Formats: sequence, structure tokens, C-alpha cells
Amino acid sequence: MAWGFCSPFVALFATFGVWPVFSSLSMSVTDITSRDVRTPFSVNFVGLDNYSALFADPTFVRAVLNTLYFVAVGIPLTMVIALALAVALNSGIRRAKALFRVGYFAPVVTSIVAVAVVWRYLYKPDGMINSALAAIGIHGPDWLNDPHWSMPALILMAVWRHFGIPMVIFLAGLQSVPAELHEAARMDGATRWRAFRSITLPLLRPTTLIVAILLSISYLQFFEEPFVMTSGGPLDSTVSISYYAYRQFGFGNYGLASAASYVLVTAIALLSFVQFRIFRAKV
Amino acid sequence: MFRPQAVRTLVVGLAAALLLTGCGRTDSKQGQGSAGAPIDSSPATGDIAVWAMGTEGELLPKLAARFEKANPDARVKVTAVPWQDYGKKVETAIASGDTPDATLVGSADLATFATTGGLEQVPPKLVDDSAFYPGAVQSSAFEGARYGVPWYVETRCLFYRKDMARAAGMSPPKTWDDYRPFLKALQKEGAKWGLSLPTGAAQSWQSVLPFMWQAGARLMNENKSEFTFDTPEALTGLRFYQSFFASKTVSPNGPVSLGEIEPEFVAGSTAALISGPWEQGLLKSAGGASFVDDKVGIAPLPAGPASNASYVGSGQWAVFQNAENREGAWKFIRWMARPDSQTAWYELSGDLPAVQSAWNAGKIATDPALAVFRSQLKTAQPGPTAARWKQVTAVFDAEIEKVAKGVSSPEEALHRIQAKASTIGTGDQR
Amino acid sequence: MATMTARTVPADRAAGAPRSTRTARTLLYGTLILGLLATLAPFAWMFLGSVKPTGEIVAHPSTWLPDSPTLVNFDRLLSKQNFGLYFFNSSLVAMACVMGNLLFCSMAGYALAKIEFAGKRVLFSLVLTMLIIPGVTTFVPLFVLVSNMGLSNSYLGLILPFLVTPLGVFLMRQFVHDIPDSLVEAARLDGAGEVRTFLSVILPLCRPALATLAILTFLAQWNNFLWPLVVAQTEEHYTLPVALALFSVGANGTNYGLLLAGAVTVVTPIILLFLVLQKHFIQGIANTGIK
Repeated sequence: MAWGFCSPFVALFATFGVWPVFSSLSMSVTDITSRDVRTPFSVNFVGLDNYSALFADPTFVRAVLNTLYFVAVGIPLTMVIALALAVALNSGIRRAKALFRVGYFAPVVTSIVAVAVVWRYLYKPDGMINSALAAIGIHGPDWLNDPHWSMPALILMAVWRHFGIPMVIFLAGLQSVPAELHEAARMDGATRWRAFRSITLPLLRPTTLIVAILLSISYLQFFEEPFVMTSGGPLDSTVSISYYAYRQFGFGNYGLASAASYVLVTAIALLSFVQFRIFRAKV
Repeated sequence: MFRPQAVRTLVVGLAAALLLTGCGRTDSKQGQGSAGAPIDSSPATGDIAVWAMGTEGELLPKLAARFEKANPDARVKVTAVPWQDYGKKVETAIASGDTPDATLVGSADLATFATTGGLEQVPPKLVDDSAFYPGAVQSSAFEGARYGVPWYVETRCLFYRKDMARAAGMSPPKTWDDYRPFLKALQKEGAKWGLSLPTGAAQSWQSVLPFMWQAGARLMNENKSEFTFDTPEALTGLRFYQSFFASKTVSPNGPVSLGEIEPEFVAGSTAALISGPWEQGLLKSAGGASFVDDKVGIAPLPAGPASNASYVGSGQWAVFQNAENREGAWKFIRWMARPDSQTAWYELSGDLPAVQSAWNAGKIATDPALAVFRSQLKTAQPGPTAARWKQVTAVFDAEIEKVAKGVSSPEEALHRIQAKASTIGTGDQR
Repeated sequence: MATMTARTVPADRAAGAPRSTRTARTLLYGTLILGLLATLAPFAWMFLGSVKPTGEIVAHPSTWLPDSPTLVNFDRLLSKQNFGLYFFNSSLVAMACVMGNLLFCSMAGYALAKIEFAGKRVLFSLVLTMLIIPGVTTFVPLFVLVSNMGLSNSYLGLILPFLVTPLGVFLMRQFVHDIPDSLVEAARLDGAGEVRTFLSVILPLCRPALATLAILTFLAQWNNFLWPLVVAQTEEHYTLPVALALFSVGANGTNYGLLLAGAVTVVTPIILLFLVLQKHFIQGIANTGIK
């Protein structure tokens, strides 16, 4: 019976999901390149050579560090913004809720290519962001050409593009927090902040877990922003693991590229595991 | 909840992977596409499925209609493919064996596709090599065989603000020594930067290699088995490239994306750039037709110690090993390389003919801007054609960026390029 | 838990709000409006840019409002003869994937959450593992597979690989997992089989999760570029993003006017979809009385 429910999914999933993963996993332990695509079985088994070659490449090490930087700053920032907005929209205001909701969600649905054009203009040395900064007396950097500012610029753009979905998920979570609990706490003299911290946040833990995992999956795969905005530059400051793998695929080094992807998979698995630990521990 | 199972899954996967790959490499040259039988001169028949990119793909059916008139039993089925990521499309098609008969290929990608073994060699005596510009023929050769037939060519010349040069009383530079006074004079006329050069963004090599060639460098050895970047000539070229940044005539933060430089050129904040024939169209849409007529001058690249060599790119036609109608495809390609078809295509698309004699008649023979490109084409060269060249270009672009931004010296950069290029190797199997 | 069906009431709506709260709220509105403007600015630039001639889009310094507004970009885009077809293809592929994900993923999610069976944990951990594999990794093998099945250049080739997603199963399983067992058991006691239970108890309760999944799936498929580019061998099977890249991105330059007009065309249907579904998307969870 249970397999009856699962069978359509399992059939499709095994064919189009699991099988290609096995193929690519096997590619990562061979020396396969684009030369071999017509005869994929006559390649040499090289064990973990691809993996050691990766960590011997300073560009890859840089890509790992860049990805960690992006994740470590990007995920908390996105979650805080999403949660703050969700709380404000849920209980702070009464009017125009739908308008705010749709407005704040809009960046999620824009296509990255068009958005890239816009953001490149925003980030020009004399662009709109720097004009805004100049108005409050700050001399803005040349965002995309300065190796120190290129990553913050991409993080900002990624946060803008991504906070909509977590915001909506948090909103849904918040609406399931019974208002009576809150009111009871307020009656007992708790401040708003205390009530939020001791009632709302714990009840939101399952929601937070889902949000954290969804974000880690997409942020660790950090690819589109460097792809359309910086091509990994300046001076490799925005090369990510995904972008590195993509480039290696482009060079035809399929073995190496697959290996890079599985380093990424391992990182995602580790991070998800840690999050499970943190958020599930107290439930 | 998912720890032990996930680990087990991974282990099982790895075991399966090991089983799958216990086959080993044979000694045969699986990369080489073989040469097929010669093509006869009878009319083509059957359906011919071809891929062409971007505007070429949109316009090709008009040219193909003429071919169909001459070959009534043949039908050309054109699929227009976006330029964006087209390489991925071609490579995955080859990997699966699921290809059309022929495809248009950018010359810089030809070697990459040929290494897969998915392309057929050009049949013997299909076309006359000496009819094309030599630079275009050069980029169709790979591992001693030919995989593409040149269709159109492009090369890079100097675009400058004619009005600003006139106001400064300067004529465009003819030699390396003329560059600096010319650019400084344009800067006095109000330009922030005299010239725009790429500084490490993708394809920067296409603009930097010419400086090395102009100094007399050859970037591969005689038998094309090794890269040779570590030469005095290459160093002269790279030092000259660096001198633009030292003299503050070129911005160390060059354009990263397409379409970034045109508005600055129109606004006059950058007074010159090095670009190809398409630039006129881009400048027209950014600044209007009168801007191009009144304010844009085009000149050949200034000469270095050895030459004024520029980069040549080309669109080439290649036929897939898995083609169902290889005869028809080659016949169509042969027809497109005829001088009259080439002229017709120029009139349809504005793409410059790869066949030299196609330049002798009509509008193309008299247009002054095209005359500049024509003279530049005579000495223009393609990048090295090697299986791993694309990978070397990534190294090259990264090191170039360090030179432009003053992070490393030309000497250090060349050493590193050479070292990494030697490690990567040409990837050729001969 | 199931009895907690209280509707959420903003905390200080009941009592007449004191003045300090009112000031705070005005401040909050101000901040929200500013944030909204900042969030929508790039968006506005895109819409305004789509009605500018290309020269004006790239002009330096750039402006917000078009000097000479024009519909020429849309005109050129829509006059491409097959535009209707590309739109149809995109809709067909996206809707089919949405349907597939809603049906198959909720079925599998239900089984994984509420039925005990051999192999369940292995299956779920496989799903979790697949959830984290980036698409670029499996791209080439997946295409070789689809092509060997004879599905390249067909709607099936565009749809089948995305008809179920690990993310869909994960979301549905998590959601169904939180539905109280008592509801399921009550249905079973009433003599309902698994199918009846699924259709009449689980699915209605899953509406918010289904809406979420529908939007995420639609979004991903509607914007998918690389897969349709590679699978569609002829223009009859092109989707909107592929066609837009064809028209607007050249080898050496980009037509920004067409690009922005195309982006507006692609984005508008999704905004409409979100407007229609957002109630389910957000409010459902509270109404179901769980968690």
C-alpha cells in the first residue's frame, strides 16, 4: 500500500534523480574529460586524485573560503531580515498587509538576467547606491571592482533576491502561534520583546529549521550572482565552489568538475546535519 | 534521522561507481574524428538539419532558400540557437549522439568540440583553403586535421572619437610610440580615460595576445606541442600592455560585461576602444546614427616592433559524426563558401565574408570603414588551437588582471602563465 | 493541539492603543514603506527600462523615467512569429511539473510520514541526500539518459525529469508529519482506506503546503533556462527564457531593450500567480489548527 503511494515518485526519482547522480559520482573518481564522452567506459580509475588535485589548486581553496564567507554572512542576514519583516507584517500593522507582502516577495520572481543589468547600474562608482551613500556623507567604494567590496555587494544582492520565500514561510509559521499565548504573557507583565523571545521564537523552531535548511542548500550552491555579475572576479574574490565546478565542466574536465560538486555536497550535508542538531535538540 | 542511512547510501553509490569504471582507457585516439569520404558535385538531397546561433540563426533561412532553389531535392532545416551557453548545448548533444547534421561554431570553441571526437573532419578537396583569410583557416585546424569551414570573419580595430582627435589636432596612432601622445591628447579634450582595454574579464586574452604578437611573440612552439609564453617578445608585449595603466591612459578596471563601454564612449569619458565590426551597430543603438557618422573614427591597430597583428575570430561550419545527412550538410557548407553566397550573406547579415574574393564587388568593396577591417584581416591571427587552450585562457585572464591592477609584474605573470600552461598541457593527442 | 483553532488577532488590536504605541506604529509604517521602496527599486528600473529605447537604457548617467517612452521593445518581441508558441510551451511545461509535483510528492510524502513500511527510512534518506545535489553535477548524465530514452526534443523530455523533486517530497513529508495522527486514525476507524484517508483528510489539510510547492515549482520551471536550451532541438519546443536569450543576447552584445521587455513578460505571470495563491500560501497553516 505504502509503495503504491510512493511508486510514481520512486520510479521517476530513481530514473531522473538517483541514476544521474551515480553516473556523476563515478565520474568524480575517473580521469574522464570531454574527449571521452563518446566512449565513457574507457577511462581510467584514479581514486581520489581529483579530490587531492582540487585542494592543491589555490583557486579552489579560495572558492571554498569565498563560499563559506557568503554562507556565514548571507544566511543569518537573510533570516533576520525575513523574520523581522514577517513579525512586522503579522502583528505590527493592519493596513495594506497584502501590498507589503506582495511587494517584498517580488524580488523572488524576477529573472536573474534582467536583475543583473539593473544591479550592475546600481553598483557603478557613480551609481544609485553610491549617490544614496553620498547623500549621508559616505564615499562609497567601486563595489564590483574592489576585491574587498565585491563579495558584500553580491551578498546584498543575494539577500534581496532570497528573503521573500523565508519571509512568507515565517509568516505562515507565525500565524500558527496562538494569539492567546501572547496576550496571556503580556497580561503577566512580560514586555513585547520578552514575549517574542520566550513564546514566539521557540514555537517557530520547526519553521526556522526548514528555512535554515532551504537557505543553506541554495546559498551553498552560490552561483548565479558571480555568474552574471563578476565572472568570479575581481582577483578571484567572488569565485564560489559551484562557479569553479561550472568552469571545470566548461573546460571539459568532467572528473574534476564532478569531484568539486561532491565537495560541495559534503559541505551541504554537514551544514544541514548541524542545523538538525541545533534546532531539533530542544523540541 | 538521516545520518546512518545517508552514509550507507553514499557507500553503496561509491561501490556502484567503482564497478562501473573498472574498464580502463584503451590506447586508441578516441578524441579524433575521422575523415569521411569525399563529397561529389551532384545536387544535395534530403533534409539537412543545422544549428545557427543568434542573428545568424534568424537570418540563415533566407540564404538557405537560395540553396534550395539550386538543389530542389534538399531542404535545409535551420534551428536558431541562443549564443548564450550554446557550447553546453553542442557538447551535450555530442555526448548523447543526438545531434543535427551541422552547426555553426565560434572559432574559439572549435578545438574544444573537436576534442570530443563528435565532429567529422572536412572531407578532402571540399573547399580551396587559399580562398579564405589565412587566420580563419588557421583556427579550423586542430591536431593536424581540419574540422571547420570558415563562413564569416571578424577582427579588432581601433575605434576612436574622431571629433575629439580633430579638436586636439591628432591623427590616429600608427605605431606603439604614437599611442601615448594620442591618448594623452584625448584626455586633455575631456576624456577620463584615453582608451579602454579589458583587464581580466572573460576573453581578455583576445585583446592582450595581439600586443604580444605585435612584439613578435609566438605562443606555441613549431610543432604545436607546447605553449611558449616565457619569451622576451611576449614580455615586451605584456610590458607595453602594463604601460597603459602606469601612464593612467587606460582604466585598471576595464569593462566586465557586454554593453558596458559603449555609453562611456558615447559620453566621451572614454575616448577610444578596440573592437570588431559589430561595434558600429552597438554604437548606433547607444548613440544614434549621426553619432557614428560624425564622431566615430576607425583605424588599423598601431604597429609594434614586429607587426600590427590583431585577433581574428570566425564563424565556422562543422558537421557532426552522427550526422544523418553528411553529404547534404557538406554540400550546403560548400555552397555557403562560394564567393557569390558569401556576398549574399554579407548583404543579408552584415557579417564579413571569410572568402577574400567576395570583398571585390558591391558595397563591401567601397565602404571606407570596411576597408580598414579588410587591411587588418590580412595579418590577423587566431589564438592557439589546442584542446586545452580554453583552460589556459582562464589562467591567462586571471594573471592579466593582476598586471592591470598592479598586483604583479609582467615578468611574474608570464612565469606563472607559463608554469600553469605547461601543467595543463595542450591536451592534444598525436 | 487540534483543538487550538484560535484565529490570530494582532496583539494590541483589542484594547484602544495608547499614544506611544501609535508613534511606534507610525515609525514602523515608515520603515516598512522605505524598505519596500528600496526593495522595489531595481524592479521599477526594469519596468521603466522596458519602455525606453536601448540608447536611453544604457545612457550615462542613467535616469529613472523614460524621456521618450516607447513600446518598440514589446512590439519587436511580440512580433517574433512564434512568441505565442513559446509562451504556450513555458506554461505547459510549468503547469505539468506543478501538477506532477503536487500529486506525486504529496502521495509519497503521505506514505513517508504516516505509513510504516520496509525501506521507508532508506527512501527518505535518499530524498534528503538528493536534495543537496547541485543540478550542474548531474546535467550531462541526465541529458545522455533522456536522449537515450528518445525523449530529446519532446515535451516529455522537458517535463519528466522535473515531474517530481526531492524538495517537493521533503516539504510534503514535513507538513504531513505535523498533522496529528489522531485525525488519520479517526478516518481509519471510520472505515476509510488509505486512499480515502489521503484524499479526504490529508489533501485538504495540506492546502498551504501544496500552494507553497506549486509556487516554488512553477517559479523554478518557468525560469529554467539550461535544460530546455539543451533538450529542445528545434524551435517548436523552445520555452520563453530560451527564446528571450535567442533574441536579446548576441555573440558580442546584448539588446537591453528586448532583454528588459522580455524580463517583464516573463515576470508578470508569476506575480499574478502569487497574487492569486498568496492567501493559501500564507494563511492556510493557521486555519488548519495544527502545530
